[in-house]
This record gives sequence, structure tokens and C-alpha cells, in this order.
Amino acid sequence: MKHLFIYSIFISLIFALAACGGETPEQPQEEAVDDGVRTIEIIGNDDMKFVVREAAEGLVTGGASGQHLLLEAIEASPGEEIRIRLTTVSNLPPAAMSHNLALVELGTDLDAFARASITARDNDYIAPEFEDRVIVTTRMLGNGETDTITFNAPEEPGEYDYVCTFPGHFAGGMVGKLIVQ
Amino acid sequence: MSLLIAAGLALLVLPGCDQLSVKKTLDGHSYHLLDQENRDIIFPSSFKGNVMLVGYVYTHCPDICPIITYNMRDIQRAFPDEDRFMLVSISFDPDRDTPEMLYDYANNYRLDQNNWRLLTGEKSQVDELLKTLEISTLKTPTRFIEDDKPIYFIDHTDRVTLIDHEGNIRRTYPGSELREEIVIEDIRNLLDRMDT
Repeated sequence: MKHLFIYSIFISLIFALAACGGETPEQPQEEAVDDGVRTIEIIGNDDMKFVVREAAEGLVTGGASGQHLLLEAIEASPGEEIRIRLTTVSNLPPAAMSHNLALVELGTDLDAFARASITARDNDYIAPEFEDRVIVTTRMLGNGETDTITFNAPEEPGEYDYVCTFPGHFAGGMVGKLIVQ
Repeated sequence: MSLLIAAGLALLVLPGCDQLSVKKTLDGHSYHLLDQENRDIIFPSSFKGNVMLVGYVYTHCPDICPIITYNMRDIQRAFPDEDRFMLVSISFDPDRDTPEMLYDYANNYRLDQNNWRLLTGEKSQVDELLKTLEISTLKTPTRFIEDDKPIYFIDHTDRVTLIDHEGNIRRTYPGSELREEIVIEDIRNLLDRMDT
């Protein structure tokens, strides 16, 4: 319990130090690559949602989240090469608000995976016992940070879940599906 | 030998050795709150007759509250058919945690809301209740982002409280490190005592 209290103080200090931060980059930091691979720019925001700047073919979007659109699903062909560039845009310090995007195998118990990952801070919030269920994941990203993953969609058709494993974000609705069809 | 046995028995019956002895009574206390369905709740009298496991959370918590809620959910699932047992989550962030927010929170965590009430209300009422339950909170400085949304965090006591069917506090546990088997045994024990 003591270490949790210390951790809370740590978060508070970071929060206080970051009070002047919270820059929201308009564009991801990484250079775009034009190699024909479909690239999906995704933002993780303070509402604990995956969002995109605009609708596009192959993306299933919902209502608005801030000035962006909720990303509900990504459609892909079996084996299609896809690039996901995830950027965190936040007014909060990384200890309080970071995002990743972890795509998992069909049939994964997402609730159990997210729960187990809450305490896996030393492993970038990916529970070691679930690592073999993770197809691909970005790094955990604080405000302004970007990570890019390039991978092939699974060959087996189905709806694959992706989730942010930062504590509370799965419960906050930071999930989506890769629909392979 | 018989002396040793007698001494052991004496220790067992001494009230101070009973982990579930009454630590404090909420008798005479009354706090007006709202649940996640915006219904008026008077705590604890609205829940009298139930053994209660009470946790303290806020929905914007970036660290231990999700763990506390999951741990309490495990306990709930150990008593699927027990209608004399319930769970209560009290938000210590009533400014942001409206009944609607708590309803969404319960759904997002896939809580069985049949016997789980999430409470919020006027800050003064919540603060008084927390004081009675000996829960401390410490809010970080607030700042506002573009759309006037307040940003702050709350350090808080990491605790879950077991309250019997008459509103007596029987035991507390560290919420994020709940030992499921102990809590379940304590709840069963209190339920058994109701029968006698």
C-alpha cells in the first residue's frame, strides 16, 4: 500500500511539473513513407478513445470525439500489409495518460488481458502471460509521441480486437476491431 | 496441556481477537446521495439488511481504482445467488462523476448492477461520509484545457470496507491488493451470523 501511495505522489509531482505542457501536435512527428502500404493515422486522446482526423475507405468511424472521429474498426483483406501510426495527443503527463494499440489473436479474453496488463507497468503494460496472444503492438506513448507498426493482417477472416492496455482505458472504451474479410 | 488449550480458547473468544469485531457503527449516520441510476440513496439505511463491501474510486483514476474495481468484481462473482450481499462504490470526485458517468463506468467494467450501487452526490455529503469512513483524499491543482474541461487527480486511501447488515464497520482491506479468499471468508462469516 505504501508504494502505491508513493506512486500516487509521483504522479502528482509529474502532473504539477507538466502543468505548463500539454502541447497537442497537429501532425505526427514521424515522416510519412510513400511505399504503397496503406497507412492509418490514429490518435489516442484524453477521452480514452482511438480517433482519426477524417473518414476513409476501410475505416469504420462513429461519432465525434473532440474535433476528431471515433475509430470503431479497420477493414482489411487477409494478409494485407497495413501500417498503423499511433500518436498520443494529451494534456496530461505520460504517467497519467499514455496510449498503445495492441492487436490480439481471435478468441482472446480481452477483459482478462486488459486487467492483467494493468499491473504490468515494467513490461509496457502488456501482461507477460498474454504476450503470445498479441499479434502486434505499438509502444506505450505519452503526449506528442508516435509509434509506427507495419504488419500483415491475419490470413484467417474474423474480427480481431485491438485495445489500449493503459490502466482503465479498456474499460473507458479504448478498443476497436480489425475486420479481416 | 489443558492450561494451554484453555488459554487458546480464551484468546479465541476475546473480542479483540475477532477480526470481524465491530470497529465502528454507522448507526445514526445518514448521507443523502445518488446512485448510478440517479435514484436517491440514504447511506447506509437504504442498504440496511445487506452485508456490504464498500470501495472508493473516481472514474478518471489512472492507477489503482481500476484494480480495486476488478478486485471487487471478483468478490461479487463469488456470491452469484446471495441476495443479502451487495457492493457499493463511492466516488470521491462528485464534481466530475455524475450518475451518468458512474452508469457508464459500471457498464464499461461489466459490473453486475443488480447488487452493485455506485454513489455520488453533493460534495459536502460525500466528504462527510468519507470522513466517517476514514478515507482521505488529496486533490492535485486543477487546470483547464481549451474547452474548460478541468484536469486534476486525486490521491486517496487504498481501502475497501466491509460493513455488516446493521451498518457496523467490521473490517477494512487494502483495495488494490485484496486477498480474495480472506474477504470471501469474512463475508460468509457475517452472512452466517445473520442466520443465528
